[in-house]
Amino acid sequence: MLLIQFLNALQFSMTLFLLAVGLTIIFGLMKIVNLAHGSLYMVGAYLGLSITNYTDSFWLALVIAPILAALIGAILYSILFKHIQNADPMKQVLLTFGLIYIALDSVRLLWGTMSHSISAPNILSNSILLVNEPYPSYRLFVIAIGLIVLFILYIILEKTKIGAKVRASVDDPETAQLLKINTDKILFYTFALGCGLAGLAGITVAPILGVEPGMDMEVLVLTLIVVVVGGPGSLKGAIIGSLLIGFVDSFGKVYIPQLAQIIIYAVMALTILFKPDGLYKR
Amino acid sequence: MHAVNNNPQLRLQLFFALLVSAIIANIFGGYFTRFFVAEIVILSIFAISLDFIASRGGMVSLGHAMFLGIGAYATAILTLNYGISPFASTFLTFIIASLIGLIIAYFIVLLDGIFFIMVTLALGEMFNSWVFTSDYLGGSDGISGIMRPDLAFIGIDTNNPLVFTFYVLLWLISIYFLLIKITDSPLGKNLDAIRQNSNRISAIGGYTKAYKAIAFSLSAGIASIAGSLYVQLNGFISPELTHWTVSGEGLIMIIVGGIGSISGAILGATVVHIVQHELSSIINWWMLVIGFGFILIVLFMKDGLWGLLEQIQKKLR
Repeated sequence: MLLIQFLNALQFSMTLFLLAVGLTIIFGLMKIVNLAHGSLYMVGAYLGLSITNYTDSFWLALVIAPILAALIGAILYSILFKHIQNADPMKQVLLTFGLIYIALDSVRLLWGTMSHSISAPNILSNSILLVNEPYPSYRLFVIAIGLIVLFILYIILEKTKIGAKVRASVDDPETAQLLKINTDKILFYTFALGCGLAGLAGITVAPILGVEPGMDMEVLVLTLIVVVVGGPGSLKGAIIGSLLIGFVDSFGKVYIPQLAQIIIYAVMALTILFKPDGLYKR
Repeated sequence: MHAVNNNPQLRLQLFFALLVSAIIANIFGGYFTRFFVAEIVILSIFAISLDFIASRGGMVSLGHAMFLGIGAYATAILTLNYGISPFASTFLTFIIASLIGLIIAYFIVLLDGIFFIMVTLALGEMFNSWVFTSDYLGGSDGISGIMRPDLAFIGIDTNNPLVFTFYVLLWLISIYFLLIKITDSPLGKNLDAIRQNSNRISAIGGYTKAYKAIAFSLSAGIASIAGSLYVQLNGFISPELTHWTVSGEGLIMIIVGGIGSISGAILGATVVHIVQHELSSIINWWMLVIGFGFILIVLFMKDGLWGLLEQIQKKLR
């Protein structure tokens, strides 16, 4: 029983991680909070739904939906975000607020207001026996995807030259520019990548939670809390934050269902009080 | 935050123009128009509470729907469970929300721009999820059966929409002149100075935190008055009122109207509410249009409609 809950919590943490990592690095680079990040998660799930329906292949959806989400991100960056980098925070936030409305209504127009479900691919539709308890193998697959992305991002950010350039741009964009680092290009690619990962989170979660308008709102606030708690702008912060919030939420819902939500906010409040820069400070 | 240039004359002219339009619409309008005007007046109170902290204190709150909710729920509970009159409960909610606002402000007013936005959003959502799960507050059903103030002793029936709209208008007028007074007072000047350079104010011995906390608390109280009046207008409260998008729409109103002039916030609330209402009655996909509208406004209307009015005024001279 405990193992099952542990794995559920881990799966949720990994979904939160996929969402938070993009948001946090975009924040680190641009000091912009993209409230429409959750919308890309929703759009990713819907695109995955259509691809699965047309091609009968979940695997194709798993690859293409995140790429399309990344493309949308690239377009949004080029026509909007690039131009509001130095605007005041209120205007930035409200612009992304407008995007939420657009995404929500577009999804309703294109796919209707009903909720849909995607079935997991055949290989992953069974349960595996784990210490005498059956556990859906698809959830293990989601955990694996999260861990793989985490590993790849870690290698890229910490061990490669591109990663060093990204970190330099987060820490000190002006000096980075002086050192001939093309921060605009870095921004463009990280923005698209972050949106792509949000799309990946959407399509991977779809077989578990279903696809419906408004799914973006549910994760948005949790993702923001992960970013605040973990400490904005860092990969490690996103990991710590998503594990903490994922576990508190999952275990809270099982053991103290009435207070589960409140506890998450309490965690955030305590973090702000005692560690205003987040648990992991770069 | 964009610096605010005061133009007291235009500010007052705009306010009276809006006031006269509201009074005319109320007198000559039908049942629906009167209800609609009351809604706009209440939204205006909410918008100026946001405008006050955004312009004076540089604090952008995406969690102010919480105070709207505190006003609404406190009014419902005070009147239904404790038998306190609706009129008195509006005052009481102001005190309750100001105190809660003060406590919250103590922890958050020194946070930087974007962090302040994220934290207020999260706090607002905390309240929202609590309201949804609380049996005492009626959960997702909300609370219904809330009465309007009983002014029968002076021969007035507030259930008459004409009367109730004038009643909420009186609240708006009082709050408006209170805020104008505060904006031009030492507190307002201090807040201006803090917004422009808080380090310098700390260095010369100013109480940055205290001033900002007082402003936030006052704004929370004003938002709760809007909530209290809203629940009296409708007779019921639904937890949807406390969702963060309500705060977001409030902020859009002050962007449309122009931040910092108070009158601009009222103009913004009026325009946004009318456009939203008209659009949603014509097309189903009005949110799509509104979303694009929000983006265009943020990108291209620097000082909102207030800025436009100032330009027109300059040309007329």
